[in-house]
Amino acid sequence: MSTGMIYNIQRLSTKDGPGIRTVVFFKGCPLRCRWCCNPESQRQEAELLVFSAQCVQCGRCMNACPRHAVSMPLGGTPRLDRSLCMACGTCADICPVNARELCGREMELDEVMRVVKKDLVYYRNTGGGVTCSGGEATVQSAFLLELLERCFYSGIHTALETCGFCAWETLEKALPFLNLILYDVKHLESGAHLELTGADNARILENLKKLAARSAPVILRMPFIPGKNNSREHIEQLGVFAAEHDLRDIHLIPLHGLGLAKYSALDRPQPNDTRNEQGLAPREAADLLSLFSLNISII
Amino acid sequence: MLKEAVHHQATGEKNLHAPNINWETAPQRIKELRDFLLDAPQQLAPERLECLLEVYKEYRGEAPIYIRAKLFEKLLTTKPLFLDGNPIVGTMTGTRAGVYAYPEWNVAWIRNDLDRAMMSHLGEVKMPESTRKLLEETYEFWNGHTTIDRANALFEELYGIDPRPLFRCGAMYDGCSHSEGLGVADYPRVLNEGMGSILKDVEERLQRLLPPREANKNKIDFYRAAIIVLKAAIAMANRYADLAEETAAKETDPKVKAELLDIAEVCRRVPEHPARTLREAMQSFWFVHLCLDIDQMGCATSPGRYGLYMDPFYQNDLREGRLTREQALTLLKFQWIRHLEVGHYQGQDYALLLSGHTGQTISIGGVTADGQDATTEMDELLLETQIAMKNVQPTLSLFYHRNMKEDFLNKVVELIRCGTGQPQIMNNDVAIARNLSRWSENGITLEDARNVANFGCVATGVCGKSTLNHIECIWNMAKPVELALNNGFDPVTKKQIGPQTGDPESFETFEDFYNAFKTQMDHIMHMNRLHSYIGNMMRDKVTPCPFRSVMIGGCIERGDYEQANGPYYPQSVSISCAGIDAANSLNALRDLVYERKKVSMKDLRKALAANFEGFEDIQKMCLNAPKHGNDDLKTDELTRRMYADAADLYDFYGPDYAGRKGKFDAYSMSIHNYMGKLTGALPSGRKGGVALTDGSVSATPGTDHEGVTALVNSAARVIDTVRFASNHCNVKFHPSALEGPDGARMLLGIIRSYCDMGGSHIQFNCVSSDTLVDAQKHPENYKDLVVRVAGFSAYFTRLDKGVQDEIIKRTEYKSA
Repeated sequence: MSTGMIYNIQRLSTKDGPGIRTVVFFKGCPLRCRWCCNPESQRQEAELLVFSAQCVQCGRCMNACPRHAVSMPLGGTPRLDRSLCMACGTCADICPVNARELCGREMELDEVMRVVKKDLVYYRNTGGGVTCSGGEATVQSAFLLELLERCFYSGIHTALETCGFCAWETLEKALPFLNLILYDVKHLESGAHLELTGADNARILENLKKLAARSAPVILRMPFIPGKNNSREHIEQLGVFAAEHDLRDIHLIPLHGLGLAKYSALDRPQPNDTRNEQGLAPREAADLLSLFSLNISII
Repeated sequence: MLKEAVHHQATGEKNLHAPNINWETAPQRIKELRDFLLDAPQQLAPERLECLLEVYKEYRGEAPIYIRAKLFEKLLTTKPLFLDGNPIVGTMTGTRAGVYAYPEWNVAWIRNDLDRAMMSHLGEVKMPESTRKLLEETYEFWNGHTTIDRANALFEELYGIDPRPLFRCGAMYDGCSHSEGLGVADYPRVLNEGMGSILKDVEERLQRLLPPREANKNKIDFYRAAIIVLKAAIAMANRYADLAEETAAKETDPKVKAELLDIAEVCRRVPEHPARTLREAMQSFWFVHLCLDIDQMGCATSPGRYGLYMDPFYQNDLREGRLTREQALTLLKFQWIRHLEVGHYQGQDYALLLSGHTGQTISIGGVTADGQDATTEMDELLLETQIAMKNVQPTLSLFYHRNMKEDFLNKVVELIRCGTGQPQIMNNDVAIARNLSRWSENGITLEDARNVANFGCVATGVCGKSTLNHIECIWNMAKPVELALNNGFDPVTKKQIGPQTGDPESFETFEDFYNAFKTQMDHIMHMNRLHSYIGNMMRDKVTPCPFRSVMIGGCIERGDYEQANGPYYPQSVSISCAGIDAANSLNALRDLVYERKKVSMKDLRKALAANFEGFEDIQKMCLNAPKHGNDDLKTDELTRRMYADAADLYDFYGPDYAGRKGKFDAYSMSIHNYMGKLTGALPSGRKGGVALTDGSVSATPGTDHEGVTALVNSAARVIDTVRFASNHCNVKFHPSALEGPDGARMLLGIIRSYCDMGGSHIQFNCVSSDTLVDAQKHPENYKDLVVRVAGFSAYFTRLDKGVQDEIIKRTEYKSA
């Protein structure tokens, strides 16, 4: 049986599609968005998060590590040599204050389905279901397709939350088993997109146009990054694009916090926060977009 | 049918008029009356004690049911009456914000507690010096003769065991040392027939039994008593009419005068005659309700399906132009004040056990006798009244079923969002199935089974035909764990309480431990049931209730009062609490000691004996062990097994005092706080002395980490809610999670799913922990902050600190 690298399964989610949903978070993402608040989702391999502020310096992790990747200077917090760490989770299991957390685990399809099926009654009663999110779920395309197919044939409503940076074939194969696609567009201009996410948006827009041409059930989502993609011009551009391709449902998602603690928990540099106060407020952007006969929600 | 009967009566009357109520000043009056109750300390009123002393001396030698009818009569015909600006008249006591003591059940508190602060549902109770003297006299008269004194003495006489150590160690709490609520009376009978007609019925029945013969002696005494109490209730209404007329004569403001004359007119009419308008029906209802409470005040005298029996009057008034919707709401608010006012004080232990809760639960929704959605416009008005008033009493309870209308359910969510924890949700299908199973041997009809409502917190029964007439002991399911860990020795009171089930360190498997636990449970259950029979016999012999009996279907027909075997469907209540603490402890033992062998029984026992002090590592292991509420099948199956075993043991010891099959119950009120103070450290990781877990399927605060759906799945799984008399689940939401249409849909989805899975009761607290912490620090700013404790709501600032802390700790869900 194939396995997927999953870093979280969140039950009772109400923000990622209709009804009460279970969100399966796939680990690994092709983009490196500057505002990413889940940096632990970016790499596809398992990683250890270390929250030093909670550490009580008991030294248990140092003694438990089979690879001797943890050292502890006298009177200081333990240091992790990530080149030695194989993210086995032994130290996280033993930590008495939960300062260490293993992120990402290879899960079998049956195991994921067992969790997903726990809330079947809620899906039925609210029109909810499963949302595959990430990271970027399309990176693990084989596992994604199996999961969607299993859910589909179990009568579970399926949604995919995607950045669209994937091979068209992946989306095409997934489409028959998808009830909803939540499709992220960060920026319509390629230069700006590259600067914000580290990748060009040509393939993203191409895939989106193809989905639109097939009248796929798409909700276009834009993370609302003040000073970056909320200028009057860009919002108008978005309105024109959406109207042109008949993508009538738009979600604007104002950003909450940056998850900075997680960057240091991963020993990674924090992103340079270049957001500023310029541009439209979410409400203003929504009003502007509604001029294009679009249904706007601010999530 | 009820609706048709009311319609014919009402339309048959020619000269009905709109109520002469001074509507302009009503909002201000409602506010002042409510503020007064929230601000003023309550008074322990003296007149019931005076009557009690006089009547028992005067009628010595009479049958207790007759003496108690005389007590009721004396009180209603002599207690001071007053008008306070509320057009619905009738207070319990002769003073504003007054409560009564019920010493016939227990007087120990008079000696033990009077120098401590006395707490009731509205907070502190004050006592005038005159009452204190009367209490001393009452103590002398009743000491050794109360229901509990006589029950304990008889227990020792018959079984040779002093039962009191079992109570002191927190294994159980007796069922007869306090007066108790009724359940749901047959209010519609009085509204539609009038007490005059019931009186005539009883008088005829008495005549038919004359001359007295041995076979009829008890019936004759009961009917004599019934006649006295019906006449007394009518007489009290007429005393109010007299008072209103006298006051009106002196009144110069024409609007005030008109309202007083309106009161007089209504009180002359009801409860003696059938009510014709909503105004009359509400006053008639209130007289019945008040008299039930005066007869025996306790938790759970509930109005039942008020919306169902009141709506025909309301619709008639609307149709004939006598009343507007707005005016009906105003009248309901006045009635709400009355419910808030009634209270009782029965000693400190009882106050801790119930947080002074009075259990006047109104049930909305449900189905009609023929299975249709029974939701009425009056039900909507009740929701709106509670949204405006946010009272702890009365409380609302929704009997949910699949055919309810979405707009009505959205109004329900609106009330839940107010944060008062109301309405609690009951599963109508389960409640009906429970009625059918409980009284299958008594030939219950489908129509009666569908006429289901809450009796107080989460218990259910048939409206007007069953009552909480047999109260069994309450027991603490965590205690058998403690006893099994100590070979039957109670470490808290340092006494051998249970049988010697062996040194736990010698147990080789978890099953060995479980068997020891079950043996301890068996012992407590056995003692509990034995004491319950005797306690109920003493309630029957010492404290029968004449007025309640008249108001319950079956008693008049059978000529037997409530505490004997009068009601059509007699019901016993046998409450257990702390099931989840026991289940979590069993799960922790199985996991840590026997399966993963992380800690030895010896070390665990050492840690427990030290209340985990110096054993923080072991406590952490215990806290991290599998816990209820996380949708883990293995954990939940052990919990379910434990509950099923407890119910088997209950059944094993046979039918109840009335000779009928009982149902084992599982809910907490605030017993979990009281028993927590008497329970030591547990393998669940809980330290000694702190509150045990609320409800019976709620998670221990802070131990459910898989989200609401996981908690709700576990909650629905662990108790067979038809076999049991209830389950009881509290969930706390952060207010932000329930915002907007999405929040409402999510909440309704959870309610639907829980009921689909067979859950019986669920309720939602929607106040943020920050608010509660602030309210602890600044109670003066939060005098009307209402929270759900466990099956009931209470003013947060008046709760015992243990209960406050426990509510703050409950896991608070935000939407993901």
